[in-house]
Amino acid sequence: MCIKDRPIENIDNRIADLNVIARIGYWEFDVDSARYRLDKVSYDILQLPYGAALEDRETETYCQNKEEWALVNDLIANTAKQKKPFHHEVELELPDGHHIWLLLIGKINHDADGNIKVSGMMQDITHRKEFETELTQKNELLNFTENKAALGHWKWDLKTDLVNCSKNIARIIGVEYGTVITIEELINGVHPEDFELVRDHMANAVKTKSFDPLFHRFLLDDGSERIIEVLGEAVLDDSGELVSFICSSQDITTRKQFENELIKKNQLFVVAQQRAKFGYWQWDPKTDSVSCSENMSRLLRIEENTIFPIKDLIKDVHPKDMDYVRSCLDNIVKTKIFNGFSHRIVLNDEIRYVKVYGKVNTDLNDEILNILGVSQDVTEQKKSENELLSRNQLLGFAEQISKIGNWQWNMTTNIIKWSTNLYRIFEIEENSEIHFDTYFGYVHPDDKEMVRARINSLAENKNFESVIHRIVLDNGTIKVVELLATVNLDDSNNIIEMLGTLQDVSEQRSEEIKFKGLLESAPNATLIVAEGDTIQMINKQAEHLFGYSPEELLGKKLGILVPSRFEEQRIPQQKKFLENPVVQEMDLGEDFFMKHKSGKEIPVKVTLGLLEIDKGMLISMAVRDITTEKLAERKILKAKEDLETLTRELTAQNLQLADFTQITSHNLRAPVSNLNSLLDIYKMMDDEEERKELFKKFETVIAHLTLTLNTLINALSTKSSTSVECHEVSFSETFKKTKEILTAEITRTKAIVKSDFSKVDVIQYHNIYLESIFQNLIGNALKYKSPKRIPQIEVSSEIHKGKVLLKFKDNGLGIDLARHGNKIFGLNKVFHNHPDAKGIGLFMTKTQVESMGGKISVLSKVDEGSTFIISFK
Amino acid sequence: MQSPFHLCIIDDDDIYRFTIIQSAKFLEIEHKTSVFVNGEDALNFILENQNNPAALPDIILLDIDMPVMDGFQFLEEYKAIDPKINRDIKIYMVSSSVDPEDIAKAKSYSMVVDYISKPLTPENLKQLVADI
Repeated sequence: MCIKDRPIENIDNRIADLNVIARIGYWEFDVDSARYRLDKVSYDILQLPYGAALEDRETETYCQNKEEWALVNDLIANTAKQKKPFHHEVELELPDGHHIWLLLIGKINHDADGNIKVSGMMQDITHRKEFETELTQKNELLNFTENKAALGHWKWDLKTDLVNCSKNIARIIGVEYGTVITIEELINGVHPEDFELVRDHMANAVKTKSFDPLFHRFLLDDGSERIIEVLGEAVLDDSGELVSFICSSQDITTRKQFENELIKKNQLFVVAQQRAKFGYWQWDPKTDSVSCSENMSRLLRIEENTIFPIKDLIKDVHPKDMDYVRSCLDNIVKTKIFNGFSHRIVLNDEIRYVKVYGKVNTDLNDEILNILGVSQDVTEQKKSENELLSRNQLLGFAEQISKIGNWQWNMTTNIIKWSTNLYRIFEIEENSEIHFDTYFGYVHPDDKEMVRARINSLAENKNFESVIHRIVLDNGTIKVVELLATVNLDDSNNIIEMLGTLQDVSEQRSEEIKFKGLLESAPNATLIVAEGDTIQMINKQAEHLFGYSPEELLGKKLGILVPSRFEEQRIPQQKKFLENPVVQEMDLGEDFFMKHKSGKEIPVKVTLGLLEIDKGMLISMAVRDITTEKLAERKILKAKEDLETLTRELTAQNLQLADFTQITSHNLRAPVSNLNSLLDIYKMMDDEEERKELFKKFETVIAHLTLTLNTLINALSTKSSTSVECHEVSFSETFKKTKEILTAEITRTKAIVKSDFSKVDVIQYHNIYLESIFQNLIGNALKYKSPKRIPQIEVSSEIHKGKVLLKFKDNGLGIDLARHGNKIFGLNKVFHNHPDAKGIGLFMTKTQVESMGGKISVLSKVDEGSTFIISFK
Repeated sequence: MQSPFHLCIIDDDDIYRFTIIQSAKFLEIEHKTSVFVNGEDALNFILENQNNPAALPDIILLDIDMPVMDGFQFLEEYKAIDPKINRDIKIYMVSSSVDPEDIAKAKSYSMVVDYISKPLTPENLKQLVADI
């Protein structure tokens, strides 16, 4: 193979020069012969011996990166087959171990002989790539879009005066890829100040049939300014007529900045001095001598215009960054490529951030002449960057903590973006591609319809209520989420974007469910009432107690359950409770009732409690139905009364029983034992005369026994007379009748018997009893008169504490009550050695009074008189 | 024991008094009888004779239920004067009462020798006299 016909040599010299500068090489691939042809620059870029055969196995070894090489071959083969141009960036490893980035552009064409050839250009874009890498790595100012915009290509057809442009250019100038545009449209975005320059350059290019490298500024949509380098090639036809220009526009902002800085060194130096943030230095690693700008020397506290070793340049570097800085510098020397880096310095005890970038100048033998560097103080920038970073982190944390994620759905592009935390909530890998179905696919089957309806309603009404639904994660976990959404509309009210948040409320939900469970398990009806008296939650027991369904009560005022008469007291009580929220029973100072749906009132006891939630205070009201208690209470009260009555009755009966015991032991046993004794004597007696005497004794005892038995029968019949008929009886009438019966006695004793029934005269009573009472008491008064005085007896009535009192007062012998008080009304009790005292009268009187529910008592002083007082029921 | 035997009956029941006196007579107990219809009369008698022990009875048959001063009231009064009396008087409560309360109360007095429920039979009386 002849070396001489390998290289492409028939390239315009000027272009060749340019290409050398721009490191653009040309190449050709003959499909039939499967041979490559490269120009000098290409060989240079690839660091291959000039004229080496690329397809040769031998040269293959030069390309260390086999995979990439295979890719390149594929690309070319593909182009040949499908006749499609390619545009590819590839990283290759060179024989010296360096990596270079190559931009390969290829297209198919036919030569005069009809051979199919793939030809194109290659450009060493390592420099740019490195900047790019650096920028990406260091998260520098360039954004992704700008990165993408780094390089574009366009072809200017002079016959039609129209431009075909690459995808990148089309995107930047905002036309659809494939559209043919005018030169005016192409340069529309050029910085106004450079506009004339660009136009003139174009015109000049047409005139001279050559396209000199052009630098101009370009304004991006976001207003940022980029510096563009345009390299162009004139395409001439066989007759030497200019047909078109094929150009590449490259964003060299970063590179240009540096170049500009170098060019405008002095100016920048001044600026740098003013800002005190720039330092410029030059380092010759072979001699390790550094010179620097004035400002830099001032910062380094080194005398101006002196030469010093590199270690002095980096003496202020933060100790922790020192190794890094050294390795960066070593790397620059080794690779002869200035990879910018950042580090910290400690200046006046303050930490500042410095960004270093620069260029390695090499001689023709690729030996380093010197290294130029610019150190820039980027502390402020770094600070804001950090701040932004920390804010982002904070937001991230906040989202994480509150389990809220946010999302954006661009309806135009149909692209959905999720925040990091949203991915986390769904437990899917961050930055996975999201479609509507991705989200919808996670919605719990039972909730799908509801969610779809809600989203549809959002699309229609542009209004979205939050919706709580469940999602099922890939691992089967069910979460409860709350979805909130809003829309952005364009001028014609079309939705262009939906955005919103999604919060994982599983925990709250489970808390709520737990709480609800607790509520349901509460033994009493429980109402949860929010401030403002709105019923928020009720349990089953409450539904049951009040007869309402939850729907009928939730959101309603508590007043619906409280009779209106309590409202006046209840509301201040509630306020008082909120001021001092300790669990307490609601006390309205009276029995409290609540209202059933039917209007029926239910007696209740209400215990108030307070629940604090995120949104404020809730009052819990545990309502206890005390209907049964009330009934029981009433029953108990009744029973108690009955019991008291019974006790009274039993006590009375007991007393009567005691009376009867007394009566049987004394009044019956005594005569019986006497009879027995008399019989014993009778048996011993043989004298008829004495026996006759004895029989008299028998008669006395039998008479006595008969009287006692008669009295007892009388008393028994009185005591059993609970159904005795009562009539209106008059005291005065009864008094008059009694006086008539006792006329003989009154006359004999010359007694003065008076009465006063002016207060009360008529009562409901048993007339026989009343007559008996009058006769007994007046009779007693006459019987036990004082021998020293004419008897004076006064009977009167009065009302005392609602009861009728009847008094019998005399001036007779009186009774020693201290001695006889306890048995004055007993049967056969006599307190006087009076011949007629039989002890029957008072016993009968008491029996008659008590049988009608009354009481009898006595006041008396010996030798002064007695007063018997009867209190009627 | 001095002669004649002195029996004292305090009871308002004349039939009972009659039967006791008759029984004593039939039992041929040589005796002298004092009779009081209530406690007060009996107490007065004792008080009058407290310095003359020979006039005081050997046995008192004391009824409970009596007018003016009953048996228990008598015992209360007697208790106060008992230490001053230089004579051993045996008091028997004789009543028709079968009330345990009365019986217990009677026995609570140290000077009461026994409680006898009526009727007091001649055999009982004989035994009482024999015990002295």
